[in-house]
Amino acid sequence: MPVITFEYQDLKELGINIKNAKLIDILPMLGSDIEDFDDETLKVEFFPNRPDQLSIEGVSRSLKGFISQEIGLPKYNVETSGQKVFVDKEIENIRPYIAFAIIKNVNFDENKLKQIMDFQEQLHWVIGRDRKKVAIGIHNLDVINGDYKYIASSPDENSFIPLDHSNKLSPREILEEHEKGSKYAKLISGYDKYPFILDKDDNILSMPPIINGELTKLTDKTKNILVDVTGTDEKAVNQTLNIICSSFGEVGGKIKSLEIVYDDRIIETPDLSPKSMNVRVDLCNELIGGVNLNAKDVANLLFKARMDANVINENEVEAIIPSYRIDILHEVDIVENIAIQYCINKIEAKLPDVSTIAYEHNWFTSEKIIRELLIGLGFQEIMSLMLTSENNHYNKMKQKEDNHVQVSKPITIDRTMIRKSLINSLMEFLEDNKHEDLPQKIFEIGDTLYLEEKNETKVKAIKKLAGAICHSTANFTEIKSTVASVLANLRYEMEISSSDNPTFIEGRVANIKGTSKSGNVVGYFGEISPEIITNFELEYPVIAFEIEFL
Amino acid sequence: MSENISKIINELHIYEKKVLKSLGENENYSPEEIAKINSMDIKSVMSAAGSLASKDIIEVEKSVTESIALNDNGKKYTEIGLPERRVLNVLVDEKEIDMKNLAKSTGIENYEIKIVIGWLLRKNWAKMDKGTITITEFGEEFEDKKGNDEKLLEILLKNENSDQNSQILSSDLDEDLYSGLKQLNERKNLIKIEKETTHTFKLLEKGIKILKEGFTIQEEATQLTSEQIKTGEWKNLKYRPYDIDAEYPEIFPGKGHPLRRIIEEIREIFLNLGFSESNGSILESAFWNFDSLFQPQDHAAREMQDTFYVKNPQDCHLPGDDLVNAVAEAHETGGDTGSEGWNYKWDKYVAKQSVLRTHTTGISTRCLEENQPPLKMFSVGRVFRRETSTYKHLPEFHQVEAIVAAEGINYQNLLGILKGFYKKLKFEVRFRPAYFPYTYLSTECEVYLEEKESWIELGGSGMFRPEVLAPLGINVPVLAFGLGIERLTMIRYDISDIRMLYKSDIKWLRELPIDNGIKLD
Repeated sequence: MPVITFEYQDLKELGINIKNAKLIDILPMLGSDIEDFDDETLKVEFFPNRPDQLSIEGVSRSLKGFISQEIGLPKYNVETSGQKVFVDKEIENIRPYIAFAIIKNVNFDENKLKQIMDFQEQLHWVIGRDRKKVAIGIHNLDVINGDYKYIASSPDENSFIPLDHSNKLSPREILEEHEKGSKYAKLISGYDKYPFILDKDDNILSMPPIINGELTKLTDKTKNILVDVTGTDEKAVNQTLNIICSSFGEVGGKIKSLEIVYDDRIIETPDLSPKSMNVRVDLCNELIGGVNLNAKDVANLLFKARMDANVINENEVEAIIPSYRIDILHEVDIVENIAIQYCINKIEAKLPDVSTIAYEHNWFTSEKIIRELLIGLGFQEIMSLMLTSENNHYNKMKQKEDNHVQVSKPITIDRTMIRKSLINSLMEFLEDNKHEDLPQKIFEIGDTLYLEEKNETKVKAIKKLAGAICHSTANFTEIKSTVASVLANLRYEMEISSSDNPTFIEGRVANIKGTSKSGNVVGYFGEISPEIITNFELEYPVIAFEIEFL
Repeated sequence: MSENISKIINELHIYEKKVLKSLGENENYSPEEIAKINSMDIKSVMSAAGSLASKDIIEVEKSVTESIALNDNGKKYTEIGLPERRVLNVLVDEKEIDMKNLAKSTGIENYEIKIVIGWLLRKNWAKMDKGTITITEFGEEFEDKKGNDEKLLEILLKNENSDQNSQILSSDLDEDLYSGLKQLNERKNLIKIEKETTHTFKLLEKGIKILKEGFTIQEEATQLTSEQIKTGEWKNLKYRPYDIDAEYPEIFPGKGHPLRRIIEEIREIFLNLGFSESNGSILESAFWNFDSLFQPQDHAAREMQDTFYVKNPQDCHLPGDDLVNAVAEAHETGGDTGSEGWNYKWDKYVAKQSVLRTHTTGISTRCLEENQPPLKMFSVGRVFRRETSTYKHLPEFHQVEAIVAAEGINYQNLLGILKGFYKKLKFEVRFRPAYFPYTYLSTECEVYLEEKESWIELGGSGMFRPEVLAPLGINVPVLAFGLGIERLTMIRYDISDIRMLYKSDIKWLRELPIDNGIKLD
């Protein structure tokens, strides 16, 4: 989740004058989560649907609306620069889309430079999918000259000095040697040619989505900038550029557009024109409930949300939505904005008037009954993870590996598969507690997972119950009595047969089958073999059983 | 006071009384003598004495004696002289000996050489310089004088050879001999020291008072037996009163797991509110886990980094074409939902991938697809996130999820249900806007924790988006909410390490009370 860090002072400089404590109360109600704060700094998580709020300027813009300090659609003028960006046809299959903007009259200091870097990185994550979908370059405009070219070129031509570096490197070398180069190499290394942005004099501005050139690096003296956004999704590319331009526009940046000349069409970016969507007043009242808004109320709330609003009739308001708002897909999103601006804590909670009769699911009702029985027998319930490993689940128990659900990219070697039996976790529990008082009687009831091709999910869950007892005189008879008691109390007829289960001592293990009118169970019980007891570093006899419900 | 004394007397075990009585007759009786007089075994005497001592009635004094005797080497060396003595004898004449000739010229064994040199230097009888051993003036003095160790060896040998079988105790030795003992004890197998512990009893003030008060020794019954009840013998027996403050062994009942108890509490709340229970598979298709919830296929949450994809089985079967196509359209263009959609090419093969479900919300969409509103449904289940185990996160945990689908359902109702639900769990919550890809009017419930001085997220909620509902054939509003149960459990039981719930300490499970006391009003 994107988190931005800023100081109260930053907001003050942008014209927001509210007390710190009040800000702490207000920010969450706007739709954020305050992660941490002290007397100077705030760390706030904004949600990935609102990348426009990932810059301090964007936060300030929303806040001003919420506290009615400044409302309505923010107006950022865009003038044409008359410059062009020529897009090489060959780029089509590599990284096909590009958008440009020139922003003049910007002010950077050290703090601002860091903020813009952070903003850029957050956008790379939230919209850019770590630069794959969208990548941003910001350049010092005053050292380059338009028009510009967006071309595909060989990895061994076009050597340039990458950002924060002192020597010229070839693109291939950058992917191999440069820190950012190797990190993002996978995004272009599969192509014969790499993308480049050049100015009129063939100065290299950047090799997107990897790195900018040192030439156009921003400093605290930079006054005018060029923003490039490249990517694989045209809508996202344009939205990203709009978010950046609107953020600079908020603090007086003068935005100029460029013509992007594709092989088959010409478009002009940035296009900050708002979109419009109608919202029905009755729908607002219905979906929110407990409010009685009229068209004018709705319009006023939209103004606070930094939109413009035209009342069309009693029941219909046209919302004019700024181009940086990429989250509004549907009328219900407008309704949500209205509720937020109304303040959700002012909406009275009310239970729905829907009467239904509740049914428990048998899968869980059965667990409750079985649990009562085992607790009555003096067993402590334990819970363990369903993720385990082949070594723990099979090898340590001397069981043969069989077909099971496997995780494709395990995060640790002890969590590679989903369990098919509960016995192993009981042994692990006893191992963890080997220094605690004996006897220890434990049980677990839970799901295991088997493969079953014909099911939609190609797996089948099987409910199992397992118990283990550890003390100095634990023996076959004790576990047999336990199992017999469990089955009898669940109204199963118990049948016992011999078993050669290698987890147990030979000749001290039995298979069981329980039959009843409502269903059958199978399972086994016995004395765990000393080899396995030793595998778990235990020093006392362990007896155990497992039953599966068919 | 006297009442106090008679209470003490009353609680005395018959053995304690016997020991005390014997001491009253003669305070100098040894434990063995007391055992003999009372026909008790020595263990019972000692344990009764221990018990009397714990009540400050008598004092048990323990003394340890060390008796010293010669060992095999000791005997030999006393007779032929310690090795360094034998070397000194030669040095007195020769004044110096070359190391190389030491064994030959003094007759000591090779293995003794190191020991000899060590002790010669330590006793300051000789010096060593470049392989030559030279006698010191101090050494000369010892030509006719014995060292303390040698004196003690002689005494020990004499004692051993005499007919009286008397013991030489370390406590009997004077200072010189005692230092000799210490030296000898450093050497291997010269002497043996046997420790012996003896106990003596001494009456304390309370004991004297009890004896003065007097008591009778009557055979007392301890355990009430079935035999005594059946024969009526109990009528003639005195049952010894027990010390009700005595130590007792702890016993532990079988109990449900704390996490399970919370799950059951939550299930009960939902059942009380009229929600029916649903169940689903922990292995789900990406289709149900993500796509049916309008999460675009390039959404960050779907990445390998956060989600466990499954190698076997690698993919799932998709549901019927109508549903799949409707979901595809909602993603691509919004279909006829009134939405703009996500504007990308939806891929059926991405949707087929198997995942360990990342939330239980897929159960809700399945339930909506299979049932007709009005509908109130909840489900509890395990969910999986690709996280390493830390005090904060586990790769799997439990979630509860609930939906209400009916004509006229609104956000106000969502808040109503949430408020009621959390109140039943004894939490006062506040609401704030949040974001989930599959809901609008998305709302987070937060509880204020005094000890952390901050608002803690308890669970998310919202109304299912039209892009989610339309493909499922649902045309009424649906409110949905869910929460992580482990976090709730941690707050409830005040634990800071989530791993405790799965890798539990049995001591914690045994000692954790199952409730905060019973209230009857």
